[in-house]
Amino acid sequence: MNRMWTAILLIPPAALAAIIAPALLRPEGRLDLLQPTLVAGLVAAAVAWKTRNVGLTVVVGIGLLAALQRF
Amino acid sequence: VATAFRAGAAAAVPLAVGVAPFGLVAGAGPVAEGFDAWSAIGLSTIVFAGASQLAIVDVLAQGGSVLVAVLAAWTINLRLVLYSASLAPYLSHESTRRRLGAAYLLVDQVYAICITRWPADGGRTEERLPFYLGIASLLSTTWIGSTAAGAVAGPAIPDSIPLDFAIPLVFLVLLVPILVDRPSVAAAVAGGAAAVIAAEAGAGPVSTIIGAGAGIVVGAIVDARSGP
Repeated sequence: MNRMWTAILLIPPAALAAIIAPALLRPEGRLDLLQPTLVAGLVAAAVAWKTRNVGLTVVVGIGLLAALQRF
Repeated sequence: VATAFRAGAAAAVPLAVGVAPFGLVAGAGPVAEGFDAWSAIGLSTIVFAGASQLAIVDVLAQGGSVLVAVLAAWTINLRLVLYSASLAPYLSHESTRRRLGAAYLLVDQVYAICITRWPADGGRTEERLPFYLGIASLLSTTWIGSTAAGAVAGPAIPDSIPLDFAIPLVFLVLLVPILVDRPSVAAAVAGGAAAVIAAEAGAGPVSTIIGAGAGIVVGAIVDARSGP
């Protein structure tokens, strides 16, 4: 029974990372490490870590991506 | 009973403030991916679980099947099974029908409040369900209302603002605080890597499920090795 609880507790980190990683590492549908989405995502991750604030993280991430895409 | 209901709603106010921005994203996200506003509002009413809703939208927008979308939604919100099992003893005096109704309204924030209040409520069991419903009614109206606002206001935002990026960002905020020990970090690293590899290999929307499965296995192995 304990094993099952362990597995259930591991679902959120595994599943969330499985959604986030492809979105940040292959935004155009193929692996690409030199693009603004990854940069914006890493900065947003730092904001999320420091503040745990959904609104602020979303605003910083989207704002930075929009700014980087302009150049 | 009415007092307990109001006490629940009052306890939920700070958390409702945090729910609103997430609701805006849950409304604007589906619309940015080409769904209509009613689909977004419908998801918030029926599914009533933000991360699962965004996962459903993410899978369907990539052309995944409904089955994969449902599996992704279940996977992400399986933690509610734990919440439900942990709260059930406190509501054992209520009928099954009432407990099933309460289960529909269960979300992270409701659990967080109840699990801290109920063990210290001096056994006043008749006040628990009204208290719970007080929390849930404030949170659900905030959730559905902010979803509707996001779905309506979303299209007014110009294309130069990459709104669909909000989806991975919200998941990021959910992921960071749960990376608390080696097994959870291992599960996330392996899950992310496996999902990227699967996607590169052409697995499409199924790569999320593949990644999640691989992450759970690796996390469980790390957990078994790091002792009892």
